[in-house]
Amino acid sequence: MKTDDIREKVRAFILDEILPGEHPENLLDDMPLRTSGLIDSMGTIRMTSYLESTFGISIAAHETGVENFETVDSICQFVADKMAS
Amino acid sequence: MSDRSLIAPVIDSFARHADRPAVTDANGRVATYAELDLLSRRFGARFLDAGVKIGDRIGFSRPKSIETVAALIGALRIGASFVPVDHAAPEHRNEHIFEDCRVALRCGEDLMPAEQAGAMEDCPSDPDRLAYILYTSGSTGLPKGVPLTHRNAASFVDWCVRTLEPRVGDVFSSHASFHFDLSVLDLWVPLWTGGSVAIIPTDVAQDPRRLPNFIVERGITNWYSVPSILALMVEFGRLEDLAFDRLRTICFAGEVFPLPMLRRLREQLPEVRLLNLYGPTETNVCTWYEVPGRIDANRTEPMPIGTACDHCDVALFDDAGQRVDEVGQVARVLARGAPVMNGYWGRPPEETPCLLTIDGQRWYDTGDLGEWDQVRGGERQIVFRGRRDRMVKRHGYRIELGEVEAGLDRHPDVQESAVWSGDIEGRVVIHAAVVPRDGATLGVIPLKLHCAVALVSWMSPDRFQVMDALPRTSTGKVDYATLRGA
Repeated sequence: MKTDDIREKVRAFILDEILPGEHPENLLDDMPLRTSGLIDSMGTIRMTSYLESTFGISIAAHETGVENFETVDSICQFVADKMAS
Repeated sequence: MSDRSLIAPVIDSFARHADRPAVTDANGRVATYAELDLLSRRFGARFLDAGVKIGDRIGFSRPKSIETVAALIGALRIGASFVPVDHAAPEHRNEHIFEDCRVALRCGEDLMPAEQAGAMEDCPSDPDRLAYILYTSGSTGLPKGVPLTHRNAASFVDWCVRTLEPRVGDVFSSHASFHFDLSVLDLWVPLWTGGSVAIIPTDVAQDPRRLPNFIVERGITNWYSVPSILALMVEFGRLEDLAFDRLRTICFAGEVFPLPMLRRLREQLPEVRLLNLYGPTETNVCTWYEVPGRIDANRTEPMPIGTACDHCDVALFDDAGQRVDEVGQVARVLARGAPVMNGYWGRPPEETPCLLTIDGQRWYDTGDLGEWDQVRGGERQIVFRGRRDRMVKRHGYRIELGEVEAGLDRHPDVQESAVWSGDIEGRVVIHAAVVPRDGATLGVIPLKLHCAVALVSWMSPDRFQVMDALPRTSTGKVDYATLRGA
């Protein structure tokens, strides 16, 4: 899967499930999501399960922290690394 | 055992179980009863040095730790009461709480115990003395204080001890925050009976993938939490991969446990006692129901909240104040007796319409609706039938939708707002409609960012819509029915 496809699916989840009603242009790929409070722990759990089923990857409990889930960019990088490994 | 003092049985435990573990903190550090005894006396001495007197309140804004547990105990030992708040909540909210109940001292993370316990002596017990105040969401936008006395709290803990039958050496989970009433069971039941309190690290507490392992590793025997975290563990926690050898009892409270998830939990842990506890902060737990070993395959609606615990009285009343004993009529759930508060902090009786006198007895109207149900082959049980007002529950936390509106209205570009709740696949969803001030534009992201600082995290709306004006009824009130349908 191409990087652009990953990005599109990650953004679609955030825009549909976490920020419905927001214009896609306003979701910046380097915008802090966790530390800013835009995504809470329940949102992270739902996103984790979405990423697992969408990309066929397995995410360990300790991998769902801010270091991987802070921005659209970091989430995409994390997913791409997982798929490559 | 004791139905008059929350602290006296703990002091007995200090002597009887000196070398046993009393508290394990988030990192696995253990304090024995002897260590907790000394540390709590040193905190007591520190509070006395700071001028705290019998009957004073101490505000607690600090993370859960051995020291925090010792400090709460220290407060009770010198005859003071504690007022715990969420240290992660917006500062203005905690500020309001501490000012509202005029705390004599604020015990933050930086407040250290005295070097020596010195001459600190345990204050003689008084069942009518305040033990703690827990603040809950208020409909006008400001949280309100629920003061509970030693008698209120001890009657509940005593009921727990008789019902859960804990053994010396049991390990109780401490999942709920100390400002949340579920923590009363977590802390005081083990400390009364020679068990230990297992504090759950904050990051693990919300992570359904790590919690099951934690339960096994810490050897937890008694789990207590809101249903939502249990439901997440059922869904994401791979419970079938683990052996819960020590776990004997799971209690849940604070919200409805959706039946499909409870059924799966029952099937995954067939040997564990599952207890549904019910009761608002104002009454402690006042009804309970033990989930049977097999849940009827034809059942679709949630389990009952059960019948009154034996330390109090719970009954259904209609709007005219008549007791409803027949099956099938939805009515108000009222509670009275030893665990029920006497009134909200600082509010005169005329501003507390939920306290009613019926035939000379004082009842607390929970605002919940219930109905007697005749379960086939069993005794009659009360089934929960929703709320009469605008309070909703999420993750067990009470949310007055008016408090959410007040938080949104603090945004400089918001002229007015309306908030309502719905559900998606059994999950409570909070919707907000906002009207921007003239010339202002509002988007979902700025509104969510505002809520992250203006509101406690569990109150933040999930769905926003920006409108030119709120729909109104013919009398000029916000038309929530139209908003819901929109």
